[in-house]
Amino acid sequence: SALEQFKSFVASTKSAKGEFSQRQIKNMDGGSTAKPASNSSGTFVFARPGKFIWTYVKPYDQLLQADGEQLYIYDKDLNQVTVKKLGDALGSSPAAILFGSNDLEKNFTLAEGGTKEGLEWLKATPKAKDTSFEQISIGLRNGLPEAMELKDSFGQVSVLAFKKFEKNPALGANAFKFVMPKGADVFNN
Amino acid sequence: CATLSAPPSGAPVAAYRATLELGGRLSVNYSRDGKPESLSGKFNWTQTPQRVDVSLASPLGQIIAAISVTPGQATLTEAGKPPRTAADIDSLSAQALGWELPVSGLRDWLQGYATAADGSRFVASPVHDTVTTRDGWRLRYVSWQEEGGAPSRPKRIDVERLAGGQVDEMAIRIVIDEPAP
Repeated sequence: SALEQFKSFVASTKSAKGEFSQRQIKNMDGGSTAKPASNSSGTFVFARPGKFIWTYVKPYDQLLQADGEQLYIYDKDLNQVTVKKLGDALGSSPAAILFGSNDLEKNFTLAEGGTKEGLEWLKATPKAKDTSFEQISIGLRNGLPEAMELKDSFGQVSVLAFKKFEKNPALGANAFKFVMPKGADVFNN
Repeated sequence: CATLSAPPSGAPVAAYRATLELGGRLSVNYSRDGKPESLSGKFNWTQTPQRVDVSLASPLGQIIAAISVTPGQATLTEAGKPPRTAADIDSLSAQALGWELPVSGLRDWLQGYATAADGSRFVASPVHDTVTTRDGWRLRYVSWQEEGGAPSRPKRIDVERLAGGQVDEMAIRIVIDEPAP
């Protein structure tokens, strides 16, 4: 089942890296219209608990990085780095599912989502009410996440697909240490 | 070999359009109860002569707030909260979000137009890229869409409100990714 696959994934995966592609689907009363211009793609690497680097390469340079304590958001065009305490920022975000601490049931109610496109889907509904997510679904195959669907409370769905998923790769000691880009304006919150 | 970028063209921006749709990224740097706050994410902007619809989303694409403004009515809906309405969006967004989204100004600014402090019509271009508007916002057109050939469209716009009286300093940085086709 999806839950078994996910539990084995969490138990056996200390860290991982790979590539992602992301597209936005707006659910207009049932029908779903993909917004062509909103496709993006990039790379990710993470290590439990709470360390990840989510890098958008196309169509723009943007980086979300957590070093376990702080969350850094860097956008090259905006030439800005925003630094926030990781704490609640991770909470019930999709990052928490893949990269967070592994007691998922604390923040989410989990349920089987059936099989679709050859993947077994796990549905995670945030317990906290004030998150921007209504539901997060994870599609797994052979114990690895291959897709995620993030549904917000406005009916918009972000569909993520993962490729070249590598479990427990060798990572340098300060693989998640944030390097401040030269000349970027920093905003600490 | 390093190509010499062409000298900034003096050509002004494309003609103003009353109806258009734009998308891009923005960051808002403001202070709330004296503490510095920053929001960064994506936005979508749909404008017609009678209406503006703006959605603000997280970097991963989840909509955080949806705003719609028609003459005399502004509605703001935050994720997971009931919609709030008011006569104008500036006070409504300041109340709900803690920072003011100058929607009426942005109708012009996003296309490179503004009403300057002396009431004259400002038209942006690479050589004429800064203005202080009549309602006290300082605009700087930092970069332009690379479409080759003039007239061009703005890409990055810095919008700043200078602190004064009980108004806090605030800065919005906007990068337009999907200019209207």
